[in-house]
Amino acid sequence: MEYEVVMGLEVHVELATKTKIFCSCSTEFGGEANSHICPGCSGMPGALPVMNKQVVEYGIAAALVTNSHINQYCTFDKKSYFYPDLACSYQITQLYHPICVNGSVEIETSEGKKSIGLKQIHMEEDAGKLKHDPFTDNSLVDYNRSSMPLLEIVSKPDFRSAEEVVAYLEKLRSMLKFIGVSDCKMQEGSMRADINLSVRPMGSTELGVRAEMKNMNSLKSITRAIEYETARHIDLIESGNAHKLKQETRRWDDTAGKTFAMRSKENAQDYRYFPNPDLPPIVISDEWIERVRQSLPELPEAKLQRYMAELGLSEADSRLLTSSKVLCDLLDDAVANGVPAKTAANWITGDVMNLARNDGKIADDIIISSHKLTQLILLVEKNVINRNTGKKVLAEVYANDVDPEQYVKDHGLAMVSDKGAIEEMVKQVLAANQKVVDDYKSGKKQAMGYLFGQVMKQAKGKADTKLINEILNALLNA
Amino acid sequence: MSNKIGAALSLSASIQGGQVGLLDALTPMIESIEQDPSLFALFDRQSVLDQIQAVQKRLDAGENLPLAGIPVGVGENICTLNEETASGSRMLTGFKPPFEATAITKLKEAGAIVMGKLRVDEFACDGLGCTAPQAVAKGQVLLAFCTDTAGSLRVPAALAGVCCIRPSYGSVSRSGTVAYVSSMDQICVLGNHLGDCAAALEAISGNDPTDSTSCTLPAFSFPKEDSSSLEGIKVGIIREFWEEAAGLDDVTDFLQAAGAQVETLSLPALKEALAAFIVIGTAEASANMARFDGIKYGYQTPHYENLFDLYIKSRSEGFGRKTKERLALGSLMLSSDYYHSYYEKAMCVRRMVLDTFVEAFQKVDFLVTAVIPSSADWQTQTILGAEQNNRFHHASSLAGLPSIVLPWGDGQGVQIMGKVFDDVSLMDACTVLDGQKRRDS
Amino acid sequence: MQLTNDLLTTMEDLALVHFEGAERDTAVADLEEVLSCLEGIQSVDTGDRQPLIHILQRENVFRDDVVHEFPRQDEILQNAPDEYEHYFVAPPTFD
Repeated sequence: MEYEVVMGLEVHVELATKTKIFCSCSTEFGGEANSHICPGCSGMPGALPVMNKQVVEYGIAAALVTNSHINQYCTFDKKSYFYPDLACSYQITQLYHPICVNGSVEIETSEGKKSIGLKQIHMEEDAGKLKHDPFTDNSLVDYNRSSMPLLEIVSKPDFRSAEEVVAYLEKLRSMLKFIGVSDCKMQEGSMRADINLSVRPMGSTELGVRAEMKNMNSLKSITRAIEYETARHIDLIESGNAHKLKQETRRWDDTAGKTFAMRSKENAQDYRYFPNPDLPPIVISDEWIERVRQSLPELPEAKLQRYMAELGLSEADSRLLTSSKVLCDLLDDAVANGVPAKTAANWITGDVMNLARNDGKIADDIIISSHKLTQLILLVEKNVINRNTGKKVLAEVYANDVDPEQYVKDHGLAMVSDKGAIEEMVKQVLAANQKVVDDYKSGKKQAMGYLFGQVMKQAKGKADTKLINEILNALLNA
Repeated sequence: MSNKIGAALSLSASIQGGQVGLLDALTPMIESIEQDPSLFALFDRQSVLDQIQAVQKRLDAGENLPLAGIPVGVGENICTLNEETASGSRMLTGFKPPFEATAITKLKEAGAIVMGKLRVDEFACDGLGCTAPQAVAKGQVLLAFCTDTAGSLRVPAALAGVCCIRPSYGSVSRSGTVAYVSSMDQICVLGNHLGDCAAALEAISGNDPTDSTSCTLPAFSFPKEDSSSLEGIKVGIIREFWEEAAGLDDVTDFLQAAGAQVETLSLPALKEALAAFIVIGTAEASANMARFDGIKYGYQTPHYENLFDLYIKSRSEGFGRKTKERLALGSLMLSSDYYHSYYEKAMCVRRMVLDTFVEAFQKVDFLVTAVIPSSADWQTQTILGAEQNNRFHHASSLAGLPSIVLPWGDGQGVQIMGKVFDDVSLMDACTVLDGQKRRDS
Repeated sequence: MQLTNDLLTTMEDLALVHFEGAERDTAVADLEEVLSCLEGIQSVDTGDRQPLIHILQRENVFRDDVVHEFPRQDEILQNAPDEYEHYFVAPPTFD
């Protein structure tokens, strides 16, 4: 029999705010345990939450890019359960009136385009971190992450393949990074996806028993987890053991390549949600939404269209560039400072990407000053250095963040563009190579190439190619 | 003497004016407390002397301090910096907050001397063990500050024969008070004289950016001149919250003598407030006190087998029986089977109570109730019994109304309530009534 | 209203508190009494009123996204019954 896998996603993204959601502690990553805590995020009695305005702004921005309906009246609830990483033994989240509902995200896979429905997006706080101490067998509790701001993006059960899930996560990541809401690093946990998965016979309209999978920390492990879990469900159904499928939470173990059921205690919880009396409601006006909309940067789709239509770039280049905010920023900066779009695109998609590839990096992780890259391209454009020298300087800018103008000056890389000097060199080369000159004059036009090379050699590679050609031509054909 | 000045303010004036030394003025109180510290959960002579020295320095520097040198007590469920704030519970034994309640900070800024921390019954839930009113009555402090949730301070204040101002919900920051019912807890002022209480309230009220539910208004400013009459003022006595035989029969006379028009209103909807309070109160408490898990601070059971065993034992040994009952009940009220028919319903009753008050205040300016029901049972050991003692107060707390309890009769007290954030008119009216009574007696 | 042992156990499990021995008998009687009193709330006619969540009319209470680290972090940890290398310590949670 053929089966269909049906999945819904709950994606948590950690917001790029400077402070936590309900207190003024820093969100800085790393550092000593419990070094970014206060009475609020460590659960002391008497401390009260005060909402970080930036979190609402990011929530509105996320709503706008996911075509979500913004609830202009939204509230916070308490969700209760006991665990050492949850300082107050309740999490402040939004159940009854989340900031947005009914969104959609367009994805593209080998099957074509598809729209994934979003049920809701809500704001909430993260829990702290637990670390197992192997010596004492205790759990060590660190509240640095406690109360970090999160958006939880809950999709409808619209996914039918791992490819769709990956496309969706990549799309979400690209959009949220573009608008600066989150850095969406799965490895560091600033983007986490829980997957609800069930399997049913193809053509059936009823949903199968659903398992919720947690703890996948890369797109690769997500694909593996989906494949594993789908196979597990099909095996149980085919072997007549469908009754063994339980609605449960399962933990992905990346080393074992398997999912494991979590303790039943965590499966049958009554979270006792109720409105948080410590936090007044949030009312989002049309003006506020408009203000956030105005402040949003151009999104990838719009950029793609603009790059092709206005800048005249090829579709391939435009797609590559808009796949990453880093590349777009490099291009936009160069173009804004007078570099022709096609030239800038060539440098970025060619030379810069090559350096990154050799460095084992993807576009998003490229760190290069857009200002310095623009400066460098302009040096070539203005014939201060030739393109070959340009490539070498770019490698220095990429690796050591050198200032291109200073570097060219310090290393004497500027091209000789003094007409008199070049004419002198050409004359010397012609005098020293009388035979070649004769060859040329007798019709061997390729002899010109040799002479050009000799001049360039004399100029230590730094002469203006156009000028050499001009002068050579003039003297030989005189 | 003006109605606006009581013993606390006159002492403060003499201290500020240099007629009496700060240490000399406070020595009788210090000695009294040392002789009988039973009302205090915490008294530290050195801390008092240090505060006296600090305030004296500010006075010498010419600072004008509205509460200069006034000895005050605070409930032990209000956080003071690095001092045990056990809130009457074994669960919080040894809990020393690394921060101070906003109200305490403001009191100290105003020059008050915090003499120590006064006992409360566990988390000041029902007021049966609250000693702050007695400390004022006994003169060990001249003003005291403690939380009232729904009568838990107003009832003992009336019993002890002292004034209690419960301002509108939100007018004094809750920041730094150990929460019992977040939507109703309110720091109140106790004193022997309304004028003293009013001055203290001016010092501690107003917006606090660390409490999102604190009001946007600046601190109260009560008129400094005495009003002499209630001419043109309409007062409604709530029939359901009244006790004819309890020595309150002359309240109407005093109100009328001051010029007020008095009528009796029947507001039966308010009787539903008791059940609504228990549902909402225990529900909120169950969440607020879930953080007491034996890991971060306070009591931890010495023997346990695993994480949940540690939680259960620490909490079962740390909380008293009544608190455990409240937490168990509140958790149930929020559980999926009960949420709609109990918790949500109680929130609807809460709106009904609010609507009832709004309607009543269209007819009258102030509402008057008894403070203590004649059926009160001070020996009660049940959570329902404790609430029945407080049954005249759940409605006003559900609605966040300001209320003032004045001593009346023999340990009876009378309560006057006003519109939300109409605290200034309420204070004014009560001053007239208080003055009228003082003149007559 | 009768408080069954099952219901009491449910309540204990939710709140993580246990009643033992004589305390349990008192708790059962006490909770039965209060639950009976609360039952009536279901039949109160509140018309078409919506639940009242916040009595204050405040909305949009925010703070700016500016870091103020708490200056007494060590004193937070000093309150812990058990502390290890700047961590709070809990029994094992990993199974």
